[in-house]
Amino acid sequence: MKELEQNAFLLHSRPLRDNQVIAEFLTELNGKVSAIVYVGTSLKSNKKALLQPFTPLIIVLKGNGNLKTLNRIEVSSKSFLLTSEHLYSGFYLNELQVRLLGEHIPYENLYALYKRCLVQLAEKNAIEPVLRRFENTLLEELGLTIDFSVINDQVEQFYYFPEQGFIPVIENLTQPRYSRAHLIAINNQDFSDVEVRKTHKVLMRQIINHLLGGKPLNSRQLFKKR
Amino acid sequence: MKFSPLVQELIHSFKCLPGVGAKSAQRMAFHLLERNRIGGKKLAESLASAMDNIGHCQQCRTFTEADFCEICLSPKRKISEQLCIVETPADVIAIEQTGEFQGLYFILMGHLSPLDGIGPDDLGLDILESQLAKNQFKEVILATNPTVEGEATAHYIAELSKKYQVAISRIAHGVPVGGELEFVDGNTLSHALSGRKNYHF
Repeated sequence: MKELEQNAFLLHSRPLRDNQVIAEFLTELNGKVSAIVYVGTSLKSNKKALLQPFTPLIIVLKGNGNLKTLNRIEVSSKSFLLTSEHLYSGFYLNELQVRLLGEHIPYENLYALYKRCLVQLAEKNAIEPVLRRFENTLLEELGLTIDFSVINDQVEQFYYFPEQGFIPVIENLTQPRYSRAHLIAINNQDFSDVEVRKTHKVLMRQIINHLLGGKPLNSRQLFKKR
Repeated sequence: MKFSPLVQELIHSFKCLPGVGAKSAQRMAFHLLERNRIGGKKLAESLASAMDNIGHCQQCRTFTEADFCEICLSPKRKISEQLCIVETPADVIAIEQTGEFQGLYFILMGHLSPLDGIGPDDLGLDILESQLAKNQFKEVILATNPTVEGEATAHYIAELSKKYQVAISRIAHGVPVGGELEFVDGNTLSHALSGRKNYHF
């Protein structure tokens, strides 16, 4: 069997035994893959240095089952140096993927997008647009698109219900309301208004929270205390 | 074949140790039963009293059976103006062995790792803040591990200590003593280059 080299990013790793870790990679060809990695404890072994998030890697996996074994790992270029909130955002992206992606499902655009997001985060661009775009694409790759066609001009405010879409506000519910103007702007990808961006954030948060089954994302805690 | 319940329980108990599976647990149990009953009794006693009595130092969070640990009680260190923040008690021992540092420690008992569910509330940062609020310290040394999570932790604590008018420093990254540049990974080497120091004569 010819070994397959592919680009990947480490999303998360957790210790398994003294010299083994289970690592979750976002690969270019196979989507999210878990693999057992042997990390030597000797001084010469520098695998631990390679097994860091936000480092572009070239990996070779072997094994037939769901849980692969890492055969080879190299660094393909310099790791992205994220600092402060850009670093926390990086964790947020990783956590989203670890929690939401299925294993061994090749998501076409995700790897390239993830890399582009990391570049932008490393360049200290504004965080919000990066995260929103990633969330959007992630949802699309998961097969979830938001249907904006029901928004007509008779109603000013809408609720969003998972699996049902937008529903005009008639009764009072304890749910976020979205104004029609903002939704139209989001649909047209026009994020120049701060309020539109806020609405977009609330909307995304509602959808993602639903997908996560109500369990909170831990990386959000890092942003809280400011 | 099955062992008698007590033997079975002993083997099972050994499995709670890290890196010990069924076979090693069995070997340990038989060794103690067969050859070293005195050692086994001593182990049991110290385990029992350790589990009951050892808690965390109220000041630095290291393991101790007293209210405060020895380092925190040392009169010379009590008036120290440096606070070194580390991840584990093992890191304290490592730094102590260098003999370079004469200040006080604060032990986080882990690092921020959102994917493992360890958030700021799990690291005892409220105790750290109350320490900083005493205005004793002039410098906070962030000695978390040079991993991405350690870096995130360092940054989080740096932001938290900003309001207390302390100098904040981060331990340097670099090439290990006796190492060869050829075998050092790229990340470490680029850190070593970007953090280079002026040559002192």
